[in-house]
Amino acid sequence: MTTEAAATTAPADIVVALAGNPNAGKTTVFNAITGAHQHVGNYPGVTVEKKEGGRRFDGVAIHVVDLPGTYSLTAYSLEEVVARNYVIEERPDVVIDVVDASNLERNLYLTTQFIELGVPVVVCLNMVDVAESRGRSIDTELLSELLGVPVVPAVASRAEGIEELLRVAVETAREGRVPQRQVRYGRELESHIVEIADLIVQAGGGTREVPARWMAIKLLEDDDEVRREVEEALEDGDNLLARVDRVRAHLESVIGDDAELALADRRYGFINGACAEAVSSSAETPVDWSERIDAVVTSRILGIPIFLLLMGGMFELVFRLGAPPMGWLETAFGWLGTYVSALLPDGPLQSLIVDGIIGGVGGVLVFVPQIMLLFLAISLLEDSGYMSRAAFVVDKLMHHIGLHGKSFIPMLIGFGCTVPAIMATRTLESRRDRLTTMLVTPLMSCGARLPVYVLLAGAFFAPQVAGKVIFSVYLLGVLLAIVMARVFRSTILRGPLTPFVMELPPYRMPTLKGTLLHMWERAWCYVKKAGTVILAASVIIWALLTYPQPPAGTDLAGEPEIAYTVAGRIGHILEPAIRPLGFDWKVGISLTAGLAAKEIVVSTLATTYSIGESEESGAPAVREALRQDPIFSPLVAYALMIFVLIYPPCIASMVVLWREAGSWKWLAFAVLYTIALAWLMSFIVYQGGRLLGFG
Amino acid sequence: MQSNLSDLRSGPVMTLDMMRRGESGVVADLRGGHGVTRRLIEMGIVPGVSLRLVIDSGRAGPVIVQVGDARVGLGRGMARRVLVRPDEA
Repeated sequence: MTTEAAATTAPADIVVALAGNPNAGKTTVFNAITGAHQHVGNYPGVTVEKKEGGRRFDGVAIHVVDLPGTYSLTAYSLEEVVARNYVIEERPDVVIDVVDASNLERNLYLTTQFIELGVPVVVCLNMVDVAESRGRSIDTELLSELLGVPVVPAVASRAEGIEELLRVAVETAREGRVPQRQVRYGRELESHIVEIADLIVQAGGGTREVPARWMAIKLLEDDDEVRREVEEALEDGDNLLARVDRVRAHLESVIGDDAELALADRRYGFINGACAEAVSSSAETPVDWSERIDAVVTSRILGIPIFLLLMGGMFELVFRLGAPPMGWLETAFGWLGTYVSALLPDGPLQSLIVDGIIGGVGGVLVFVPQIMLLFLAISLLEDSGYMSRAAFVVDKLMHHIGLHGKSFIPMLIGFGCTVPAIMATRTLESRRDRLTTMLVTPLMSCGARLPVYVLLAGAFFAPQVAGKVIFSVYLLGVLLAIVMARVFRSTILRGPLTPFVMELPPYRMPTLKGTLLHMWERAWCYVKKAGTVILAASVIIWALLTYPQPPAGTDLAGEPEIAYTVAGRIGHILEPAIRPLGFDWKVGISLTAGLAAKEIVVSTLATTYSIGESEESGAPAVREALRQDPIFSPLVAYALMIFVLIYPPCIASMVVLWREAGSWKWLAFAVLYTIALAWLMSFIVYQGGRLLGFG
Repeated sequence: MQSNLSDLRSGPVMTLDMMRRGESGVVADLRGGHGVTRRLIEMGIVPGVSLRLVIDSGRAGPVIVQVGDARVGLGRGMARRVLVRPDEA
């Protein structure tokens, strides 16, 4: 652990690792335990998000580490490896395994793996209210005895049971109480597990941290990580592995099945045995709302229309509700600019603060209401459970472009922000699928591009059509993503289609607190970016737009002074390349600056125009200035929106793509192809529009 | 629900994608490579488990099955790798 939040700087008495299936309510438990004392970082070396938090309980300083949500501890996905390695290497004092009580059997599968690993585990039986509402009552004491680990019932969304959970966790950690039972795999499998475990011990392997029995079971499952470790760390590792392979072949012939499947079967047997005794279901099964909703929402006929309706509604909501507060913020920043102008004497300082900082950062911050609404909508889709249904509904369509439904989730998150969207491609198992999704996700228009559309559509289109114009840009992004995915999958990333499996969690009423927290976490990143990257970029761009100033008496040939500055010159160099798209050098400046982040296109336009021509600042003034500029027309504005849609979204997203794709070649490819595509599409729109007489 | 593996080998089996909506059955076997099997296991789809086809989006589309209290979506290709012995109607 390298970094600690302020709240958790005190040395922790107890380190708790929070584990559990995705959708088991792990985040809710984490929030209920730590409250506001959280810190988000990354696991070393990988871009898996690492949340940490602290809490004092009964005089004990507890440090909580949130492990990635996983279904098991195989070495199959990055998340699983991270979770497993954390538990093995960092040795938390206790693992709290959050289990969805309404989906007990499947969730306990992960629990059996912690039991096997021999670490102190406490099961947090979350959402017992949901289980009860379905007529299932769980005897936690009996379950605890059968599983050999403490079990604490909880309803984390109402913070019920959290105190008891912490009490038991502290107790378990203090006593170092390891699981009291083991999964027994039956005579045939057991004899081989024991045999291999003995060989491991003879070869000098097997410790308290990594029990030989666990290693033996993993080897029978053909676990790549453990195999590698045996090969590297144990003497005679190769021989041991050869023996393992023989045993696996033998098992397959005796039980007629994969050893892995047979082991899983026994684990489920252990779980089912425990559940059969500890869980009682009332005879009447109440109405299953999830099933009823699914029957409509995922149906063959209504699935797609409902999906489109929800998406359309989401954007409508964002723009309608977001517009008034945006107006208030514009007025506020405009007023602030005027006020500071009056306070400071004319000169570079006034220009820096008013045009550079207030114009630049303010121009970005006014979009906070809309960004927050967009994130709110995405959080609602995720937390309610609809997101995975959307993946299901579009699966068939996605097959046509060589991807499957799961790829759709990163693309949907891409409407919020490209960075987490690219990170979300990790749930895809095949590398080809991942790369394809990563390459097309930036085409999903992220929140940062929205300000550009709002500004341009607001300036050049009537209020009644502005929303539709923006929607069409989003739609174009989706269509291009489809086309490009198809192209990539049939050229550079050709390969077989990987099958699609995905859990569809029951529908849940999203909690107010959870959704708002979710939204806030993401919106805060945007605000932080405005305060740091964009502030710095605004100052730099302001300087580039201001200096050098033409000496008095220079003949500017009718162009504004800004043409003489560094930025003006860069713009002029670019102009021949973007002239066919209808853009001039001023647009060139903004587009160059926009490579850092798309919001900067807006702030740069603001700075360019307010320095260039008008005395006022603020977005209404920029809109007016744009309208006054003869180079602009609705057609040029639309071509510009399309260019902004397609070319690389921001530095941050490109860095993430580079890290996730694991090679700078993919980064270079992504940057070049998006710029080329942006140019081509803008060209088609502008020149085509002119031919049709829209110019 | 503990299964006797040898038991599962008898009786007619079909692949999951052949089942009709509302039909239920017991998983007889999983076909396909490592990664595929592993994903299915994690989702609780293992030999001996009962499941019911809840939604079938037809032809090349995915299906939704109910496994215990969990609902799992499977692409058509994946559904073809799950062998099911249907319950007698």
